[in-house]
Amino acid sequence: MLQTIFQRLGLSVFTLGFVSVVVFFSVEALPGNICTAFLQRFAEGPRLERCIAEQGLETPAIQRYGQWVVSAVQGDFGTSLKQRREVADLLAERFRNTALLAGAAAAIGIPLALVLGFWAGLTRDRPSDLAISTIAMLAMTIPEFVTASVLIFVFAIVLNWVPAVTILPPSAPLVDLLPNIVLPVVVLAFLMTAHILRITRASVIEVMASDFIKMAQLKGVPERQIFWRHLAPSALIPVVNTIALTFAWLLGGVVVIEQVFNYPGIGNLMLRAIYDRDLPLVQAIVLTFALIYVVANLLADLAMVLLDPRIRSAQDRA
Amino acid sequence: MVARPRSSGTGGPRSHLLHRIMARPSGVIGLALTLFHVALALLAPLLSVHDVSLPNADTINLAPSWEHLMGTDSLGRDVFARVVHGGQLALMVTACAAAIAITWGGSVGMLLGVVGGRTDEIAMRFVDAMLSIPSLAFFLLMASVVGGGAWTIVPVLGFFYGVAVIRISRAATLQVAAQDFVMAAKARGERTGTIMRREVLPNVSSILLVEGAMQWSWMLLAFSSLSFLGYGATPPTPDWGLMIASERGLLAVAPWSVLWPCAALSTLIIGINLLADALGKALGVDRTREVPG
Amino acid sequence: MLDRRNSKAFVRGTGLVIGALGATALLATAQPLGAQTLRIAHQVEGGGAASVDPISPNRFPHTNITVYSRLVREDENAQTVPDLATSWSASDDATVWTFTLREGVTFHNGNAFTAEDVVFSLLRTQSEVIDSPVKDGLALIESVEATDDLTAVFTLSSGHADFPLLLRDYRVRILDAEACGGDLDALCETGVGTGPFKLVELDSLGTTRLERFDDYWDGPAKLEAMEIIAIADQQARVAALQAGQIDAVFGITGQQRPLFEGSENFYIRSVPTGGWSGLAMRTDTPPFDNPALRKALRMGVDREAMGKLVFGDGAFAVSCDHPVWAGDPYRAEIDCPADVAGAKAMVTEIYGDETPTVELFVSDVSAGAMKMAEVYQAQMRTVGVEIELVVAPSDGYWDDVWMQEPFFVTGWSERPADQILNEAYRSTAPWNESYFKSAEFDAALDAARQELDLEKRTKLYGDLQKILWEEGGTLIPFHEASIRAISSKISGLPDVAFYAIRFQDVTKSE
Repeated sequence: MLQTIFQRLGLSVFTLGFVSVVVFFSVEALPGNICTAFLQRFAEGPRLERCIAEQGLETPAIQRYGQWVVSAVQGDFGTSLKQRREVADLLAERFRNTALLAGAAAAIGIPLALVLGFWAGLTRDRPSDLAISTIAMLAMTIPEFVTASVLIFVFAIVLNWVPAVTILPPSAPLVDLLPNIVLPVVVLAFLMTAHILRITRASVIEVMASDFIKMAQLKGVPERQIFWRHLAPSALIPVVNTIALTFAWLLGGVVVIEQVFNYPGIGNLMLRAIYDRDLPLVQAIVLTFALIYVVANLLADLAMVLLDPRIRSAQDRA
Repeated sequence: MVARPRSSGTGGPRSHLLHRIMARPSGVIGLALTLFHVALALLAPLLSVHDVSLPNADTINLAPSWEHLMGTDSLGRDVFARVVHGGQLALMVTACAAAIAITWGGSVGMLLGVVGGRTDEIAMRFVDAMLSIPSLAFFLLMASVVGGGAWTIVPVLGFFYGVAVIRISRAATLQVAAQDFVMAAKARGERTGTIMRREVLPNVSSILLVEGAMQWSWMLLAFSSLSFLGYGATPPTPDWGLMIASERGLLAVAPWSVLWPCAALSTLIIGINLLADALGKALGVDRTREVPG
Repeated sequence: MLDRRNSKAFVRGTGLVIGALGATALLATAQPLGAQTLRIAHQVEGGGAASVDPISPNRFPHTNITVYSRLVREDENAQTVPDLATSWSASDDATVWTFTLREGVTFHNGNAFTAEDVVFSLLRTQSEVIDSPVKDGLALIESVEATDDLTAVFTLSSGHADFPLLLRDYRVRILDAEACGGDLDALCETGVGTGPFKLVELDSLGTTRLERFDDYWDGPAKLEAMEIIAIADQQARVAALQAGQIDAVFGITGQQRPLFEGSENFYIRSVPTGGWSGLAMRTDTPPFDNPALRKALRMGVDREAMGKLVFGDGAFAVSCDHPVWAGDPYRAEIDCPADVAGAKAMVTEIYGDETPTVELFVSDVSAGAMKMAEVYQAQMRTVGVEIELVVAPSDGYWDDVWMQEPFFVTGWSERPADQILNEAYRSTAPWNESYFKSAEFDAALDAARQELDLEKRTKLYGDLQKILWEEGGTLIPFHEASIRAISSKISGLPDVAFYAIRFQDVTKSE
């Protein structure tokens, strides 16, 4: 089991390394460099020279990549071109805010998706299943910026229950942020639930059709026991994997949602950085997104090892 | 867990396939919605008498009427005209990107499946790593490198979604590769390219087709997000994402100029999605495990 | 089915989580935010750099106008009336001006206001180090002297018949010389003024808080406090007002009017102002260094139609690229109906049959900027010029795009004729955004302000405006009425330009 965990860890490190290469060298492939991209038509004279010196662009790309990775591991992502602050500082305060958003959405979305997914899967093709599946389909195809705009209109403007947009700085205390996350969390949880429940439903249907469940039913094993002993663990395995995969997809949604709600998170920072052509900041943010994904995936892998006795024992024997 | 045998696509005559798609209500709905949208995009110039981009000070935020079936927006433009034209760009951009994704993702996947061994194992590690970059973040990074705009985004979308296709294509190829006729071809010493084209492609093409349609529907959603953020279509192009972005603040006053473009976008995505699903079932392709991405 | 009971428990559990989250939210919003606190938004124009030194290039006007006072101010009829000065008089050639100051005024730190503070505050506007945007406008001040505690005497290098108008500038405010350490070359960011509100917390990216100054010379303000909140995005500002997070938005678009009309929670005021949004071309940069092209790009515009689309009927007054508004006595009468054919002919003469494409940098910096650019794009197509809109972020726009790109959206608040002409068009002015360089124009500016005869002065200022219509690089389609959406809880907001609002008279009911 330990060996599996180490394997997965190694894989995660490899993934991050590869992403860092993609992120770094896709920018290097630019005609010009970070400074000319940032300064555009003012990329000349002392302004350009100062930028090049500050960003250390005289050294060869390979060497700079090495330095970038080494400092990134130590939590230093250099300085933002536009905001003239440490990228790590900018990221830190906003990471907290996005984590709050995503964490709350996951806390609501995952259990909800599992319940609805099992319910739909076990009542396949009956009204409850059709209703759940249709709503999930709509949730996945209606763009999140529409859902968000409608929710703002109904709950913030007409009913006045919650704030419409966040009007706090990134460093605001968490307590002050809480009322502001209600609507974005609902939108995010809605999306997340739809994705995970579809997979859950499919997985439940597949497992229910499998021989060992049929066998158990024939043997007269109590339904409750079938559910908890056989169905739930088997059906959850692909779901756990999906939860991690869905995460990467959802982080994109976070960008849009933070924009609509004016929420001071990483997604919002990323849009600003792209507007500003602040590539060092953009690179750091994409890498952060990849890190979040990799960690989520790692946790999913570990959960899977714990869930599936076959993987556990097979690995131990190997 | 019990693995379900994956039947390779058996093809069959066209009418037969259509019949099988239409056998399910979801297939009928999907086909109808998709055809409806394609027809709309093709016939758009004939359907609307109003100019799509010219502002008109006298017709601002009018509610739906016979003259303006879906009302008018905050610049006095006919929403119906803009909605029927609004799919053209998105459909073209995403269709091209989907074709790229299927072509390159499909061939790389087949190659890896046929070659197998170490190469395959290592390459798949890279594919998995690539998939850990959130798609929208990747598009935005690329947009900041190559500049935004609807057409510059095509290769980026195609490339990224193609990575996901590699996995599917490879998995399907592995099923085929283990079969006797491929083994025999290998034993005959045929070139990899020949094997891929003659033995593998006919057997995985239906999977790729279904996958392509599925990816296409998610690309439409991604493209609308990009337009919404200002990196897809640019004003005054009628585009659903862009229309929603500029009118969403007026939801209370002129909900029609937000909700109609949204309805158009969602029905198109649902249509393609259902069609792909029905197509998959009709061709015997099992894709319950897939995640949009 | 086998799992029904469990799924119900699950659902109940999730319901609890959602409920709890909602409850915290409600509790947090229900907390009293200070009963008598006026909350307004600012646009983060400085991208986070915000100075409470009123003459700093990064000045934070929303705060400064209530924390500091001027010698003179405008009343609701645009007349110059006393503020910290009670009366003034000029020598016959208008080169020496004597101001008598108000007695018994104290700064927020308890110091008494004296003529020394006036000397300090005015002399520092000329500092090379600070390099203030008001430096050029006040460069004619040769000396300022305190002849006694309550008398300040200005000597000008050349006569200026309307000198008090220059002191009415929203940035020319009186600081406490002692609190600033008396250094003429240093920024003074103490926030100590004589205004009705004192600065409690400055956070230009979050909430800046001001509290009532109990010793204000005209009696304490009716409000207890003011909060000035950073919201860069215009749509977000409007949404925040709709949801009751702020109390007023001082610039909504005509399209946004119906969001508030007919609602008992809000009322709308349409205030004609001298403020304008325009499109500025850098006259020193190709292709805009060609006066004929500039004229074509301006005269092909249907200003009436553009105004209706951007602000709505009656919420604007057409201008012919003259920055002087209709409420100003020096406004010139120019007629500029859309001349599409003429403009087209000029474009053809320059480019032949090919359709030129020019980039226009726009941003959501003011209520109508984006819509204006979009309408402009459509109108220019009829002239045969393709306008490519480049959308820039609104935060930091004034640092990164304005006066940097060759063609960009601009915006100015209301200013008297002499001030706007000097500040935006004099060759040496730091905010000469169109890089308009004309020795003839500069000379005429000097002549106008020295002319003591009102009729002749009016004609001179009129000629300047006509030069701009012929050769200028700035398209000013109209002066805007500021459409304000205000919460019904707020009363006492006068119908004057934002910088002229006296917030001490505003009240808020619960």
